[in-house]
Amino acid sequence: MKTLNTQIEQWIHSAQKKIDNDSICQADLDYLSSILQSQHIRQRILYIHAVTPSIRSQLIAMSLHEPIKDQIAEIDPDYGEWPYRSVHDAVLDGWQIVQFPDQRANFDDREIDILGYEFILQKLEAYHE
Amino acid sequence: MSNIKPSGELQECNFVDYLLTDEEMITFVIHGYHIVETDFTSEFNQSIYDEIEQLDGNPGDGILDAVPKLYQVYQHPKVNGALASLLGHHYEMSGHRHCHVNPVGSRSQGWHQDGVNQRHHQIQTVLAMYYPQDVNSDMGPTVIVPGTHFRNAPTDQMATYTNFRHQLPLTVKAGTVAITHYDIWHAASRNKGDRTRYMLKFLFNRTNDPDQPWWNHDPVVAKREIHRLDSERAGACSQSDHYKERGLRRQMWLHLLGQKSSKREE
Repeated sequence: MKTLNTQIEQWIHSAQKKIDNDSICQADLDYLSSILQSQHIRQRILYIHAVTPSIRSQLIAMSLHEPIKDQIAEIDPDYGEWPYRSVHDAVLDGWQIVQFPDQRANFDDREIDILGYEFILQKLEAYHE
Repeated sequence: MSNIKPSGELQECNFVDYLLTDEEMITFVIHGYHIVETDFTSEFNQSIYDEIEQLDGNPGDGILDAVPKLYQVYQHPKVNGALASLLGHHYEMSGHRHCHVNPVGSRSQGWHQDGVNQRHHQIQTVLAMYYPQDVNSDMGPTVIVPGTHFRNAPTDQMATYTNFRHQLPLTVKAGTVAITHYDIWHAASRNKGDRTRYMLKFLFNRTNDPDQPWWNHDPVVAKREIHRLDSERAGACSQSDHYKERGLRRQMWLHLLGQKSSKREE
């Protein structure tokens, strides 16, 4: 499943070639219209675990969930370059924070449990189906 | 099945040259794992792989009886030396063990700690994971998060984690035994290869509280290395967690030395 933006970019690329050889026609515009009419807004979800509750702190873990049937977020032993260094980086890329971590101090001053502070972010994207 | 203990003096002769050093022990305390590369032949490892392939179902705790060659794996001097260092020379093999099968096309597991959330900060039990085949990153390696053995996290609270910056895939050569603290966070990843990946997970227990260092302890070396308990990071975490982690490391180290926490450590 492609995002609407991707689909339109592909249409423009194709249309440019047709303009160059003077072959663009009504059917091309009808196809563009059908793309726009079949769009569906879906929510992409990004979990980020950061070192502190600050959106500027470095990341510990990341989990991206795409709104695609049967897509799963999996451990990847070859997980390479991280796209963001902080939650703020993700915000600059268009992600919106929908849940901030609970920053109340842990009163147990000896034991440690889960790792990092969890931010949940979303990006709403139009998809062509 | 009853627990199996090393056989006294013979066992000590077997492993005494392979006890861990202070550097290795401190590394285990900080990171929670130690990798042992054995010198078994590729034919030996392959024969274990083949025997597992031919089993009619997974025998669970009965895997040792089903594949008796595994006794040799866990009697290897380097494996025994590491286990004796971490658990004392009278450690025992637990009656619980399992052959973990990661078939082609699997999905990755969720992160988890074994057992229930009643933990401590000592080395009472370790996992000893033997791999009878090479494991590359496509073959669904076990992945661990170093340093997490001090954390007490219910599995359901770990469900939103996927990839950690400091996760470590155990991509190993056939014959490797990866020894980890029982509480370390771990998971199997997806097998994208063309061959089933097996891992034999055996548990080993301490039988006595330490009354002395059981590894190749040298107080001079230990004194030189001890600062790492305070300064070395196993992975990214908050500063307040790291402060607590330092205390838990020292608590574990003192226990290993056979000292109470009120005594001065070497």
